[in-house]
Amino acid sequence: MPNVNNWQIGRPMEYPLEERHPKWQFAFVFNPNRCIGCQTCTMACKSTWTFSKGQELMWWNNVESKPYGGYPQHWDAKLLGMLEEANPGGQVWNTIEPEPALKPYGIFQGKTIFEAADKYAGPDGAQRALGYLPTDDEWRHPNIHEDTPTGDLFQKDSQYGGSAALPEHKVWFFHLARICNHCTYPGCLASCPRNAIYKRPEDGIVLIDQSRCRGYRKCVEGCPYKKAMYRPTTGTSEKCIGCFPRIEGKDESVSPTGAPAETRCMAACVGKIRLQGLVQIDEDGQWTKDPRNPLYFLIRERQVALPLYPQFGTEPNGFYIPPRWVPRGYLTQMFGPGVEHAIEQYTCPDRELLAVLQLFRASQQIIFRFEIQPGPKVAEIEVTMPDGKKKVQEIFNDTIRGFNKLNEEVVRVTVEEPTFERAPEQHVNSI
Amino acid sequence: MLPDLTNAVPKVHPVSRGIEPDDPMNLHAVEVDGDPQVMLQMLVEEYARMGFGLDELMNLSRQPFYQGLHGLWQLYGEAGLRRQLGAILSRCGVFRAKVWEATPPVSEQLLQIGDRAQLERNHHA
Repeated sequence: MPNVNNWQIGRPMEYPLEERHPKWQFAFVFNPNRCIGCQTCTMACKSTWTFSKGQELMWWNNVESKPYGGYPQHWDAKLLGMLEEANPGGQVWNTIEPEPALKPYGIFQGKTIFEAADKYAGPDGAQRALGYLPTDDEWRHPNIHEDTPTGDLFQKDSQYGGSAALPEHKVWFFHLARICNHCTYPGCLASCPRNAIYKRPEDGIVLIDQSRCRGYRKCVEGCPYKKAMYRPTTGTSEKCIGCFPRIEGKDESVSPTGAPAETRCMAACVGKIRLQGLVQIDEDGQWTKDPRNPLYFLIRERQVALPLYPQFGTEPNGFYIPPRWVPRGYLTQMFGPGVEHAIEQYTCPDRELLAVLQLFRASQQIIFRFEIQPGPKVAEIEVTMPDGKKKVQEIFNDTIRGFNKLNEEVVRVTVEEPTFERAPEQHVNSI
Repeated sequence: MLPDLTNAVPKVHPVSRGIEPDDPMNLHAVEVDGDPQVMLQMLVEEYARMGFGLDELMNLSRQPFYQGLHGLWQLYGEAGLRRQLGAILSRCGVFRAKVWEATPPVSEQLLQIGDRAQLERNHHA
Protein backbone atom coordinates (compact mmCIF):
# COMPACT_ATOMS: atom_id res chain seq x y z
CA MET A 1 0.00 0.00 0.00
CA PRO A 2 1.28 3.51 -0.75
CA ASN A 3 2.27 5.79 2.10
CA VAL A 4 0.49 9.12 2.41
CA ASN A 5 1.09 11.95 4.83
CA ASN A 6 -1.60 12.57 7.46
CA TRP A 7 -0.94 15.74 9.49
CA GLN A 8 -3.69 14.95 11.98
CA ILE A 9 -1.96 11.81 13.20
CA GLY A 10 1.47 13.35 12.73
CA ARG A 11 2.97 10.66 10.51
CA PRO A 12 2.77 8.93 7.14
CA MET A 13 0.23 6.13 6.96
CA GLU A 14 -0.79 3.37 4.60
CA TYR A 15 -3.65 4.18 2.22
CA PRO A 16 -4.88 1.94 -0.60
CA LEU A 17 -4.59 4.68 -3.24
CA GLU A 18 -1.89 7.11 -4.41
CA GLU A 19 -1.80 10.53 -2.76
CA ARG A 20 -3.62 13.28 -4.69
CA HIS A 21 -4.94 16.57 -3.43
CA PRO A 22 -7.48 19.17 -4.52
CA LYS A 23 -6.65 22.88 -4.93
CA TRP A 24 -9.14 23.87 -2.26
CA GLN A 25 -10.64 21.77 0.48
CA PHE A 26 -14.17 21.98 1.86
CA ALA A 27 -13.84 22.29 5.64
CA PHE A 28 -15.96 23.39 8.59
CA VAL A 29 -15.88 24.14 12.29
CA PHE A 30 -18.76 23.16 14.58
CA ASN A 31 -19.05 24.42 18.13
CA PRO A 32 -20.89 21.82 20.28
CA ASN A 33 -20.64 24.24 23.23
CA ARG A 34 -23.49 26.12 21.58
CA CYS A 35 -25.54 23.39 19.94
CA ILE A 36 -29.06 23.06 21.37
CA GLY A 37 -29.99 20.05 19.25
CA CYS A 38 -32.86 21.83 17.49
CA GLN A 39 -32.25 19.76 14.32
CA THR A 40 -32.86 22.76 12.05
CA CYS A 41 -29.73 21.78 10.12
CA THR A 42 -31.01 18.22 9.84
CA MET A 43 -34.31 19.36 8.41
CA ALA A 44 -32.70 21.90 6.07
CA CYS A 45 -30.66 19.08 4.55
CA LYS A 46 -33.55 16.64 4.54
CA SER A 47 -35.90 19.04 2.80
CA THR A 48 -33.28 19.89 0.20
CA TRP A 49 -31.72 16.57 -0.73
CA THR A 50 -33.25 13.48 0.90
CA PHE A 51 -37.03 13.86 0.75
CA SER A 52 -37.77 11.19 -1.84
CA LYS A 53 -38.78 7.56 -1.73
CA GLY A 54 -36.07 5.28 -0.43
CA GLN A 55 -34.44 8.12 1.47
CA GLU A 56 -36.73 7.99 4.48
CA LEU A 57 -34.04 6.77 6.87
CA MET A 58 -31.28 8.78 5.23
CA TRP A 59 -29.97 11.74 7.22
CA TRP A 60 -26.89 13.25 5.57
CA ASN A 61 -26.86 15.75 8.41
CA ASN A 62 -27.73 14.50 11.86
CA VAL A 63 -27.38 15.75 15.42
CA GLU A 64 -26.85 13.08 18.02
CA SER A 65 -26.58 13.56 21.76
CA LYS A 66 -23.41 12.12 23.18
CA PRO A 67 -22.49 9.94 24.95
CA TYR A 68 -25.81 8.16 24.45
CA GLY A 69 -27.08 8.72 20.94
CA GLY A 70 -25.69 7.85 17.56
CA TYR A 71 -26.73 7.57 13.94
CA PRO A 72 -26.43 4.75 13.14
CA GLN A 73 -26.60 3.58 16.72
CA HIS A 74 -23.21 2.97 18.39
CA TRP A 75 -21.31 3.77 15.17
CA ASP A 76 -18.26 5.13 16.96
CA ALA A 77 -18.20 2.72 19.89
CA LYS A 78 -18.38 -0.22 17.50
CA LEU A 79 -15.47 0.93 15.35
CA LEU A 80 -13.36 1.91 18.34
CA GLY A 81 -13.98 -1.59 19.64
CA MET A 82 -12.90 -3.16 16.35
CA LEU A 83 -9.71 -1.09 16.30
CA GLU A 84 -8.93 -2.04 19.86
CA GLU A 85 -9.47 -5.67 18.97
CA ALA A 86 -7.12 -5.35 16.00
CA ASN A 87 -4.42 -3.64 18.07
CA PRO A 88 -5.04 -4.38 21.76
CA GLY A 89 -3.66 -1.65 24.01
CA GLY A 90 -1.80 -0.01 21.13
CA GLN A 91 -4.21 2.76 20.14
CA VAL A 92 -2.25 5.52 21.87
CA TRP A 93 -0.81 8.96 21.10
CA ASN A 94 2.73 10.16 21.62
CA THR A 95 2.30 13.80 22.61
CA ILE A 96 5.86 14.51 23.71
CA GLU A 97 7.01 16.64 20.78
CA PRO A 98 4.12 18.16 18.83
CA GLU A 99 4.99 20.50 15.93
CA PRO A 100 2.35 23.02 14.86
CA ALA A 101 2.73 22.46 11.11
CA LEU A 102 3.47 18.76 10.74
CA LYS A 103 2.13 17.08 13.88
CA PRO A 104 0.06 19.56 15.88
CA TYR A 105 -1.44 16.91 18.17
CA GLY A 106 1.61 14.65 18.39
CA ILE A 107 1.96 11.25 16.75
CA PHE A 108 -0.71 8.57 16.77
CA GLN A 109 1.12 5.31 17.36
CA GLY A 110 -1.82 2.98 16.88
CA LYS A 111 -3.42 1.65 13.74
CA THR A 112 -5.74 3.58 11.46
CA ILE A 113 -8.70 1.87 9.81
CA PHE A 114 -6.53 1.30 6.71
CA GLU A 115 -3.62 -0.16 8.63
CA ALA A 116 -5.87 -2.39 10.75
CA ALA A 117 -7.79 -3.73 7.76
CA ASP A 118 -5.20 -6.39 6.86
CA LYS A 119 -5.79 -8.10 10.19
CA TYR A 120 -9.52 -8.27 9.69
CA ALA A 121 -11.66 -9.95 7.07
CA GLY A 122 -15.34 -9.03 6.89
CA PRO A 123 -18.11 -11.40 5.87
CA ASP A 124 -17.20 -10.85 2.20
CA GLY A 125 -13.45 -11.23 2.63
CA ALA A 126 -10.64 -8.75 3.11
CA GLN A 127 -11.39 -5.07 3.58
CA ARG A 128 -9.48 -2.01 2.40
CA ALA A 129 -10.66 -0.04 5.41
CA LEU A 130 -11.69 -1.60 8.69
CA GLY A 131 -15.42 -1.23 9.05
CA TYR A 132 -18.80 -2.86 9.40
CA LEU A 133 -22.26 -2.64 7.90
CA PRO A 134 -24.78 -1.29 10.40
CA THR A 135 -27.99 -3.22 10.71
CA ASP A 136 -31.34 -1.84 9.59
CA ASP A 137 -32.30 -1.36 13.21
CA GLU A 138 -29.28 0.81 13.83
CA TRP A 139 -30.18 3.10 10.92
CA ARG A 140 -33.82 3.35 11.93
CA HIS A 141 -33.69 6.30 14.32
CA PRO A 142 -31.52 9.37 13.86
CA ASN A 143 -31.14 9.84 17.60
CA ILE A 144 -32.92 7.00 19.36
CA HIS A 145 -33.83 7.44 23.02
CA GLU A 146 -32.85 11.10 22.78
CA ASP A 147 -35.33 12.89 20.52
CA THR A 148 -37.59 9.87 20.57
CA PRO A 149 -40.43 9.95 23.07
CA THR A 150 -40.04 7.25 25.66
CA GLY A 151 -43.26 7.49 27.62
CA ASP A 152 -46.17 5.09 27.58
CA LEU A 153 -49.78 5.51 26.66
CA PHE A 154 -50.96 5.60 30.26
CA GLN A 155 -48.89 8.64 31.23
CA LYS A 156 -51.77 11.11 31.12
CA ASP A 157 -50.29 14.09 32.92
CA SER A 158 -47.80 15.11 30.25
CA GLN A 159 -48.40 18.44 28.52
CA TYR A 160 -47.35 16.87 25.19
CA GLY A 161 -50.33 14.67 24.52
CA GLY A 162 -50.06 12.29 27.39
CA SER A 163 -48.09 9.63 25.56
CA ALA A 164 -44.62 11.04 25.32
CA ALA A 165 -41.81 11.87 27.69
CA LEU A 166 -38.40 13.12 26.69
CA PRO A 167 -35.40 11.44 28.26
CA GLU A 168 -33.72 13.20 31.14
CA HIS A 169 -29.98 13.26 31.51
CA LYS A 170 -28.81 12.97 35.06
CA VAL A 171 -25.30 14.30 34.63
CA TRP A 172 -23.89 15.60 31.37
CA PHE A 173 -24.31 15.28 27.64
CA PHE A 174 -23.74 17.35 24.52
CA HIS A 175 -25.11 17.55 21.01
CA LEU A 176 -22.79 16.41 18.25
CA ALA A 177 -23.82 17.66 14.81
CA ARG A 178 -22.40 15.58 11.98
CA ILE A 179 -22.21 15.67 8.21
CA CYS A 180 -19.80 13.98 5.80
CA ASN A 181 -16.29 15.15 6.68
CA HIS A 182 -15.19 15.14 3.01
CA CYS A 183 -12.04 13.46 4.26
CA THR A 184 -8.65 13.93 2.68
CA TYR A 185 -8.23 10.12 2.62
CA PRO A 186 -11.84 8.92 2.51
CA GLY A 187 -12.62 5.44 3.78
CA CYS A 188 -15.61 5.26 1.43
CA LEU A 189 -13.48 6.11 -1.60
CA ALA A 190 -10.81 3.59 -0.68
CA SER A 191 -13.40 0.84 -0.18
CA CYS A 192 -15.35 1.24 -3.41
CA PRO A 193 -14.63 -1.71 -5.74
CA ARG A 194 -16.08 0.22 -8.70
CA ASN A 195 -14.05 3.43 -8.33
CA ALA A 196 -17.38 5.21 -8.27
CA ILE A 197 -16.32 7.65 -5.55
CA TYR A 198 -14.12 10.63 -6.22
CA LYS A 199 -12.89 13.87 -4.67
CA ARG A 200 -13.53 16.97 -6.71
CA PRO A 201 -10.22 18.66 -7.57
CA GLU A 202 -11.71 22.14 -7.22
CA ASP A 203 -13.04 21.88 -3.66
CA GLY A 204 -12.29 18.40 -2.27
CA ILE A 205 -15.97 17.47 -1.96
CA VAL A 206 -16.38 13.67 -2.02
CA LEU A 207 -19.09 12.44 -4.38
CA ILE A 208 -20.54 9.11 -5.48
CA ASP A 209 -20.92 8.76 -9.24
CA GLN A 210 -24.45 7.38 -9.43
CA SER A 211 -23.89 5.95 -12.90
CA ARG A 212 -20.96 3.80 -11.73
CA CYS A 213 -22.32 2.80 -8.31
CA ARG A 214 -23.72 -0.72 -8.21
CA GLY A 215 -24.87 -0.60 -4.59
CA TYR A 216 -22.33 -3.04 -3.13
CA ARG A 217 -22.35 -0.94 0.05
CA LYS A 218 -18.59 -1.18 0.51
CA CYS A 219 -18.57 2.58 1.09
CA VAL A 220 -21.16 2.19 3.83
CA GLU A 221 -18.88 -0.40 5.41
CA GLY A 222 -15.67 1.57 4.90
CA CYS A 223 -16.74 5.05 6.00
CA PRO A 224 -15.82 5.19 9.70
CA TYR A 225 -18.31 8.02 10.28
CA LYS A 226 -21.09 6.06 8.53
CA LYS A 227 -21.99 8.92 6.24
CA ALA A 228 -22.48 6.89 3.08
CA MET A 229 -25.96 5.41 2.99
CA TYR A 230 -27.72 2.85 0.82
CA ARG A 231 -30.93 3.72 -1.01
CA PRO A 232 -33.04 0.67 -1.78
CA THR A 233 -35.24 2.31 -4.42
CA THR A 234 -32.32 3.11 -6.72
CA GLY A 235 -30.02 0.31 -5.60
CA THR A 236 -27.16 2.75 -5.13
CA SER A 237 -25.45 4.47 -2.22
CA GLU A 238 -25.73 8.19 -1.63
CA LYS A 239 -24.02 10.69 0.60
CA CYS A 240 -23.72 14.39 1.45
CA ILE A 241 -22.77 16.35 -1.66
CA GLY A 242 -21.56 19.39 0.27
CA CYS A 243 -24.35 21.43 -1.40
CA PHE A 244 -21.85 21.91 -4.24
CA PRO A 245 -24.07 24.26 -6.28
CA ARG A 246 -23.85 26.72 -3.38
CA ILE A 247 -20.10 26.16 -3.02
CA GLU A 248 -19.83 26.99 -6.72
CA GLY A 249 -21.69 30.26 -6.08
CA LYS A 250 -24.65 29.29 -8.24
CA ASP A 251 -27.38 30.10 -5.71
CA GLU A 252 -28.27 33.63 -6.76
CA SER A 253 -30.42 34.28 -3.71
CA VAL A 254 -27.34 34.28 -1.47
CA SER A 255 -24.54 34.83 -4.00
CA PRO A 256 -25.65 37.65 -6.33
CA THR A 257 -22.06 38.09 -7.53
CA GLY A 258 -21.31 34.38 -7.85
CA ALA A 259 -19.16 34.04 -4.72
CA PRO A 260 -19.21 30.67 -2.91
CA ALA A 261 -21.92 30.30 -0.27
CA GLU A 262 -22.17 28.02 2.75
CA THR A 263 -24.18 24.80 2.58
CA ARG A 264 -27.86 24.59 3.54
CA CYS A 265 -27.19 22.96 6.90
CA MET A 266 -24.65 25.65 7.82
CA ALA A 267 -26.84 28.53 6.69
CA ALA A 268 -29.86 27.21 8.60
CA CYS A 269 -28.10 26.92 11.98
CA VAL A 270 -30.01 29.05 14.47
CA GLY A 271 -27.62 28.30 17.31
CA LYS A 272 -24.71 29.90 15.41
CA ILE A 273 -22.52 26.88 15.96
CA ARG A 274 -21.26 26.52 12.38
CA LEU A 275 -18.62 28.15 10.23
CA GLN A 276 -17.82 26.64 6.87
CA GLY A 277 -15.30 27.49 4.22
CA LEU A 278 -12.61 26.42 1.82
CA VAL A 279 -8.93 26.18 2.67
CA GLN A 280 -6.15 26.23 0.11
CA ILE A 281 -4.09 23.05 -0.30
CA ASP A 282 -0.44 22.86 -1.41
CA GLU A 283 0.76 20.36 -3.98
CA ASP A 284 2.12 18.19 -1.17
CA GLY A 285 -1.27 18.11 0.55
CA GLN A 286 -0.47 20.58 3.33
CA TRP A 287 -2.77 23.47 4.14
CA THR A 288 -1.34 26.63 2.60
CA LYS A 289 -0.41 29.03 5.37
CA ASP A 290 -3.21 31.59 5.46
CA PRO A 291 -3.77 32.97 8.96
CA ARG A 292 -6.38 35.47 7.72
CA ASN A 293 -8.65 32.64 6.62
CA PRO A 294 -11.01 32.07 9.60
CA LEU A 295 -10.84 28.28 9.27
CA TYR A 296 -7.05 28.22 9.04
CA PHE A 297 -6.91 30.57 12.01
CA LEU A 298 -9.18 28.45 14.20
CA ILE A 299 -7.85 25.03 13.20
CA ARG A 300 -4.16 25.42 12.40
CA GLU A 301 -3.15 28.72 13.97
CA ARG A 302 -4.98 28.55 17.32
CA GLN A 303 -5.88 24.86 17.30
CA VAL A 304 -9.14 25.64 19.03
CA ALA A 305 -11.09 23.29 16.73
CA LEU A 306 -10.15 19.61 16.48
CA PRO A 307 -10.89 16.77 14.06
CA LEU A 308 -13.47 14.11 14.96
CA TYR A 309 -11.75 10.81 15.77
CA PRO A 310 -8.45 11.68 14.02
CA GLN A 311 -7.15 8.21 14.95
CA PHE A 312 -9.41 6.66 12.29
CA GLY A 313 -6.85 8.05 9.81
CA THR A 314 -9.07 9.52 7.10
CA GLU A 315 -7.96 13.09 7.86
CA PRO A 316 -11.52 14.41 8.24
CA ASN A 317 -12.13 18.05 7.32
CA GLY A 318 -14.80 18.64 9.92
CA PHE A 319 -13.49 20.18 13.14
CA TYR A 320 -15.09 20.72 16.54
CA ILE A 321 -14.52 23.07 19.46
CA PRO A 322 -14.68 20.56 22.33
CA PRO A 323 -17.58 21.08 24.79
CA ARG A 324 -16.00 22.38 27.97
CA TRP A 325 -18.08 20.51 30.57
CA VAL A 326 -17.38 17.01 29.31
CA PRO A 327 -14.90 14.71 31.09
CA ARG A 328 -11.52 15.03 29.44
CA GLY A 329 -10.99 11.31 28.87
CA TYR A 330 -14.09 11.12 26.76
CA LEU A 331 -13.14 14.22 24.79
CA THR A 332 -9.58 13.02 24.19
CA GLN A 333 -10.86 9.77 22.77
CA MET A 334 -13.19 11.70 20.48
CA PHE A 335 -11.04 14.65 19.40
CA GLY A 336 -7.48 13.55 20.11
CA PRO A 337 -4.89 14.95 22.50
CA GLY A 338 -5.39 18.61 21.51
CA VAL A 339 -8.41 18.89 23.81
CA GLU A 340 -6.78 20.63 26.80
CA HIS A 341 -5.15 23.26 24.63
CA ALA A 342 -8.37 23.89 22.68
CA ILE A 343 -10.47 24.29 25.80
CA GLU A 344 -7.94 26.60 27.38
CA GLN A 345 -7.98 28.82 24.28
CA TYR A 346 -11.75 28.84 24.08
CA THR A 347 -12.38 29.45 27.78
CA CYS A 348 -10.52 32.74 27.74
CA PRO A 349 -10.27 33.90 24.12
CA ASP A 350 -7.93 36.80 23.37
CA ARG A 351 -9.23 39.74 21.34
CA GLU A 352 -8.37 38.20 17.96
CA LEU A 353 -9.98 34.84 18.72
CA LEU A 354 -13.04 36.52 20.25
CA ALA A 355 -13.44 38.56 17.08
CA VAL A 356 -13.12 35.53 14.78
CA LEU A 357 -15.68 33.61 16.87
CA GLN A 358 -18.19 36.35 15.96
CA LEU A 359 -18.06 35.20 12.32
CA PHE A 360 -20.03 32.02 13.08
CA ARG A 361 -23.23 32.31 11.06
CA ALA A 362 -22.71 35.99 10.42
CA SER A 363 -22.97 35.55 6.65
CA GLN A 364 -24.32 32.99 4.20
CA GLN A 365 -21.38 33.61 1.88
CA ILE A 366 -18.13 31.82 2.64
CA ILE A 367 -15.62 34.10 4.30
CA PHE A 368 -12.17 33.65 2.77
CA ARG A 369 -10.41 36.45 4.62
CA PHE A 370 -10.98 38.52 7.72
CA GLU A 371 -9.59 41.81 8.95
CA ILE A 372 -9.84 43.22 12.46
CA GLN A 373 -10.22 46.93 13.11
CA PRO A 374 -9.02 47.48 16.67
CA GLY A 375 -11.14 49.42 19.13
CA PRO A 376 -10.67 50.57 22.74
CA LYS A 377 -10.84 48.22 25.72
CA VAL A 378 -14.38 48.19 27.10
CA ALA A 379 -14.32 45.58 29.86
CA GLU A 380 -12.35 43.10 31.89
CA ILE A 381 -13.92 39.81 32.99
CA GLU A 382 -12.56 37.30 35.44
CA VAL A 383 -12.57 33.82 33.91
CA THR A 384 -12.07 30.51 35.70
CA MET A 385 -9.73 28.35 33.65
CA PRO A 386 -10.07 24.54 33.41
CA ASP A 387 -7.37 24.08 36.08
CA GLY A 388 -9.31 26.32 38.48
CA LYS A 389 -7.00 29.30 38.18
CA LYS A 390 -8.44 32.74 37.54
CA LYS A 391 -7.56 34.74 34.45
CA VAL A 392 -8.64 38.16 33.27
CA GLN A 393 -10.23 38.35 29.84
CA GLU A 394 -10.03 41.74 28.16
CA ILE A 395 -12.90 42.76 25.90
CA PHE A 396 -12.17 45.25 23.14
CA ASN A 397 -14.59 47.20 20.99
CA ASP A 398 -13.07 45.51 17.91
CA THR A 399 -14.76 45.12 14.55
CA ILE A 400 -14.13 42.08 12.41
CA ARG A 401 -14.75 42.34 8.68
CA GLY A 402 -15.30 39.27 6.53
CA PHE A 403 -14.55 39.12 2.79
CA ASN A 404 -15.77 36.60 0.21
CA LYS A 405 -13.72 34.92 -2.53
CA LEU A 406 -14.13 37.96 -4.79
CA ASN A 407 -12.68 40.12 -2.00
CA GLU A 408 -16.03 41.84 -1.45
CA GLU A 409 -16.84 42.72 2.14
CA VAL A 410 -19.85 40.65 3.14
CA VAL A 411 -20.12 41.11 6.88
CA ARG A 412 -18.92 43.29 9.73
CA VAL A 413 -19.39 42.39 13.39
CA THR A 414 -18.53 44.71 16.26
CA VAL A 415 -17.92 43.42 19.77
CA GLU A 416 -19.58 45.78 22.23
CA GLU A 417 -19.34 46.37 25.94
CA PRO A 418 -20.92 43.48 27.88
CA THR A 419 -23.77 44.18 30.27
CA PHE A 420 -23.66 42.86 33.80
CA GLU A 421 -26.79 41.76 35.62
CA ARG A 422 -26.94 42.04 39.36
CA ALA A 423 -27.35 38.71 41.11
CA PRO A 424 -30.91 38.35 42.46
CA GLU A 425 -29.83 38.07 46.10
CA GLN A 426 -28.02 41.39 45.94
CA HIS A 427 -29.85 44.45 47.22
CA VAL A 428 -30.75 46.88 44.44
CA ASN A 429 -28.41 49.49 45.86
CA SER A 430 -25.59 47.14 46.73
CA ILE A 431 -22.24 47.59 44.99
CA MET B 1 -59.43 -19.29 44.78
CA LEU B 2 -57.11 -16.28 44.58
CA PRO B 3 -53.45 -16.95 43.73
CA ASP B 4 -50.84 -16.47 46.42
CA LEU B 5 -49.18 -13.12 45.61
CA THR B 6 -46.79 -12.92 48.54
CA ASN B 7 -43.77 -13.80 46.38
CA ALA B 8 -44.86 -11.99 43.20
CA VAL B 9 -42.67 -9.26 41.78
CA PRO B 10 -44.59 -5.97 41.67
CA LYS B 11 -45.34 -4.81 38.13
CA VAL B 12 -43.36 -1.65 37.40
CA HIS B 13 -43.25 -0.23 33.90
CA PRO B 14 -39.65 0.04 32.54
CA VAL B 15 -40.10 3.77 31.86
CA SER B 16 -40.52 4.51 35.52
CA ARG B 17 -37.70 2.24 36.71
CA GLY B 18 -34.33 3.56 37.71
CA ILE B 19 -31.04 3.12 35.88
CA GLU B 20 -29.82 -0.44 35.53
CA PRO B 21 -26.14 -0.25 34.58
CA ASP B 22 -25.93 -3.90 33.58
CA ASP B 23 -28.66 -3.56 30.94
CA PRO B 24 -26.89 -3.77 27.55
CA MET B 25 -29.93 -2.56 25.61
CA ASN B 26 -30.22 0.76 27.40
CA LEU B 27 -27.02 2.58 26.58
CA HIS B 28 -28.80 5.89 27.18
CA ALA B 29 -29.21 4.96 30.81
CA VAL B 30 -25.56 4.32 31.61
CA GLU B 31 -24.29 6.90 34.05
CA VAL B 32 -21.02 8.60 33.16
CA ASP B 33 -19.21 10.61 35.78
CA GLY B 34 -19.56 14.35 35.50
CA ASP B 35 -20.40 17.47 37.44
CA PRO B 36 -23.70 19.26 36.75
CA GLN B 37 -22.27 22.39 38.35
CA VAL B 38 -19.56 22.54 35.68
CA MET B 39 -22.12 21.95 32.96
CA LEU B 40 -24.30 24.74 34.36
CA GLN B 41 -21.47 27.23 34.48
CA MET B 42 -20.20 26.42 30.98
CA LEU B 43 -23.67 26.45 29.42
CA VAL B 44 -24.56 29.77 30.99
CA GLU B 45 -21.26 31.36 29.99
CA GLU B 46 -21.83 30.15 26.45
CA TYR B 47 -25.36 31.57 26.29
CA ALA B 48 -24.06 34.81 27.79
CA ARG B 49 -21.50 35.03 24.99
CA MET B 50 -24.42 34.94 22.59
CA GLY B 51 -26.25 37.72 24.44
CA PHE B 52 -28.74 35.77 26.58
CA GLY B 53 -29.67 37.42 29.89
CA LEU B 54 -31.20 36.03 33.07
CA ASP B 55 -34.87 36.15 32.10
CA GLU B 56 -34.24 34.70 28.66
CA LEU B 57 -32.26 31.84 30.18
CA MET B 58 -34.96 31.12 32.74
CA ASN B 59 -37.54 30.98 29.95
CA LEU B 60 -35.35 28.56 27.99
CA SER B 61 -34.74 26.37 31.00
CA ARG B 62 -38.46 25.75 31.51
CA GLN B 63 -38.77 24.28 28.01
CA PRO B 64 -38.18 20.51 28.01
CA PHE B 65 -36.85 20.62 24.46
CA TYR B 66 -33.79 22.57 25.58
CA GLN B 67 -32.54 19.44 27.23
CA GLY B 68 -29.36 20.78 28.76
CA LEU B 69 -30.79 23.75 30.60
CA HIS B 70 -34.04 21.97 31.35
CA GLY B 71 -32.21 19.12 33.04
CA LEU B 72 -30.44 21.64 35.26
CA TRP B 73 -33.75 23.39 35.97
CA GLN B 74 -35.15 20.08 37.14
CA LEU B 75 -32.09 19.43 39.25
CA TYR B 76 -31.89 22.82 40.99
CA GLY B 77 -35.52 23.97 40.83
CA GLU B 78 -36.84 27.35 39.66
CA ALA B 79 -35.53 29.45 42.55
CA GLY B 80 -32.25 27.60 42.87
CA LEU B 81 -31.45 27.85 39.19
CA ARG B 82 -32.39 31.54 39.08
CA ARG B 83 -30.03 32.22 41.97
CA GLN B 84 -27.17 30.33 40.34
CA LEU B 85 -27.73 31.88 36.92
CA GLY B 86 -27.72 35.34 38.45
CA ALA B 87 -24.47 34.66 40.26
CA ILE B 88 -22.77 33.39 37.09
CA LEU B 89 -24.08 36.20 34.89
CA SER B 90 -22.99 38.85 37.37
CA ARG B 91 -19.45 37.50 36.99
CA CYS B 92 -19.19 36.79 33.28
CA GLY B 93 -21.46 39.53 31.89
CA VAL B 94 -23.72 39.29 28.85
CA PHE B 95 -21.92 39.87 25.57
CA ARG B 96 -23.22 42.20 22.91
CA ALA B 97 -22.29 42.38 19.23
CA LYS B 98 -23.53 44.49 16.34
CA VAL B 99 -23.80 42.79 12.95
CA TRP B 100 -23.80 44.48 9.54
CA GLU B 101 -24.31 42.37 6.44
CA ALA B 102 -23.41 43.66 2.98
CA THR B 103 -25.84 41.62 0.94
CA PRO B 104 -28.71 40.41 3.05
CA PRO B 105 -30.11 37.26 1.48
CA VAL B 106 -33.06 37.80 -0.80
CA SER B 107 -36.16 36.30 0.73
CA GLU B 108 -37.05 33.13 -1.10
CA GLN B 109 -40.20 33.22 -3.18
CA LEU B 110 -42.90 30.63 -2.77
CA LEU B 111 -43.14 28.47 -5.86
CA GLN B 112 -46.06 26.45 -7.09
CA ILE B 113 -44.84 22.89 -6.82
CA GLY B 114 -47.21 21.52 -9.45
CA ASP B 115 -47.29 17.85 -10.36
CA ARG B 116 -45.69 16.09 -7.42
CA ALA B 117 -45.51 12.77 -9.26
CA GLN B 118 -43.59 14.42 -12.10
CA LEU B 119 -41.19 16.00 -9.60
CA GLU B 120 -40.58 12.61 -8.03
CA ARG B 121 -39.86 11.11 -11.45
CA ASN B 122 -37.42 13.90 -12.26
CA HIS B 123 -35.68 13.44 -8.95
CA HIS B 124 -35.29 9.72 -9.50
CA ALA B 125 -34.16 10.12 -13.10
